[in-house]
Amino acid sequence: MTKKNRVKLFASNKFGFTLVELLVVIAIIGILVGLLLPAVQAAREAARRMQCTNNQKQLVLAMHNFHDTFRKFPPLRGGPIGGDQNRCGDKFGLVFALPYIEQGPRSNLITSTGTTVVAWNNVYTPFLGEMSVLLCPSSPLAANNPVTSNQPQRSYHLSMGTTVGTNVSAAGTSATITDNNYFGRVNGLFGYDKPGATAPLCVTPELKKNMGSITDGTSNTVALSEKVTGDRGSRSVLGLATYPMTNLDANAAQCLATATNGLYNPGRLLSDWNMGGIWAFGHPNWAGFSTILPPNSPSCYERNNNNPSNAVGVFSVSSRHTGGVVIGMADGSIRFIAQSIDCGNYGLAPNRNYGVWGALGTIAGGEVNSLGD
Amino acid sequence: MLRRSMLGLIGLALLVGCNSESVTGTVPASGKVTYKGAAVEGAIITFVPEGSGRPATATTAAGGVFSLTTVDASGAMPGKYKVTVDKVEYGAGGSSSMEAASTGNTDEGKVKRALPAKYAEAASTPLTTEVPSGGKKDIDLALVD
Repeated sequence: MTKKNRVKLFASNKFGFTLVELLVVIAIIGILVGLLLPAVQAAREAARRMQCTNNQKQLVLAMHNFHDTFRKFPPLRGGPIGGDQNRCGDKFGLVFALPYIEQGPRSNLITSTGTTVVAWNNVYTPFLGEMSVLLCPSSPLAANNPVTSNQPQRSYHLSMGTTVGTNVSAAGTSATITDNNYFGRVNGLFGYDKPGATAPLCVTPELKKNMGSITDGTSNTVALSEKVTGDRGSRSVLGLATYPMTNLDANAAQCLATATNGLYNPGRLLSDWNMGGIWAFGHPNWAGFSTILPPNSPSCYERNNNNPSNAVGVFSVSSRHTGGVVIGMADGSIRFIAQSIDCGNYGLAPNRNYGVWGALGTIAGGEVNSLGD
Repeated sequence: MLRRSMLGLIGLALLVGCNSESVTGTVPASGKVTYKGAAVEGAIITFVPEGSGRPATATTAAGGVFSLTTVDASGAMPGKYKVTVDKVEYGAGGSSSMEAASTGNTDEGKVKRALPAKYAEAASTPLTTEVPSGGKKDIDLALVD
């Protein structure tokens, strides 16, 4: 084609597009839309996740400020609660840290009105009213929260590490729960803080762990995570636990057999109390998590009762983000861990190894594992 | 040519993105559990690796049949295992009232096992099996007293 001809070709098309040109333009627009559309669809979830992340940041900073004041971290659950010593230490750790999440008025009310209420009290003003910093917007509020609780729900839970404990009741020797097995020997950052067996009970929270306890390093230790507030009408593993199990301390992996494709197997009994359904209640099902099974795994406990209070078990983290959960580290950083995080061989004695997830959970495990970038 | 390799790359990325299983290298493993000759339904089985492998678990279905799962991947890793079988009889659970449950004053009874206790723990179970590298579909777990 000569130069002259080409000029002539363009001149003849001066007032219109050829079919090929139109098709090319349409194809380019199509590709651009294709690139853009998934991004638009995920934008809302991305924003919700960002808020979820920010809430955790605030909570970890609150823990640090609490630590600056009291030289200890708050407990998973602690006193003072009521006059009944069995109920000592039912309150969730953040109840003590309320002033550090700008909930000073609630804290003042608790201090001034005394402490003779139980942690699940549903008419006590300081325990009522939603606090958005405790809720992850990605996870819808459970529609079927227990009717006996007017308390708001809570998405964030504290690490108990890889400790399961053994339940005297479930092992079949006694029907009475003598003590809570998360007391005193939890290898995670937060444990049950029950004051000594002698008086004065229910007086001062004896806070257990401080920065110095975290010999694994604060950037290698998880402080808190999210859990879905389970829907009691469903059989989803997210935010609901199954019972009764035995021998979970030696064999946590058996919990994986209770569910298929994210749903508990038919016939398995489910707890009537969803995780996080009562924000001020500090028992493990409502307030703690185990770094044993990967995110969005089933949760199991040993008690033969659909109420898991005081029960020992494996309580897994969960979220409605895609593929993992957001966790807050003890150094104040927020990380996203994938569902496929290395969990070792899932905790079978004697070759027990909980991998990276377990290493993140323990505060003084001495593991070489750490979370990569 | 460039376009074709781009398509290939996109396809590969999609494939990788869709693979959510965190465990690889499992082979099919399934079988049947009987106690004194009768099929056991609803028992939880754990294959405890004798080395440093991963445990595989399953719940038996009707007829005592089971198909193992290793975390989220079906099947089990090849290797030698001790096998625990535990079945808890679901009694009527105790009270769900917070008042009763949190003080521990409930009569919730004991958790009863439907099978001999020795099968429930890796330390005492007499059952062992080996999953060959080609998988095994007739793992026969015959429990006696």
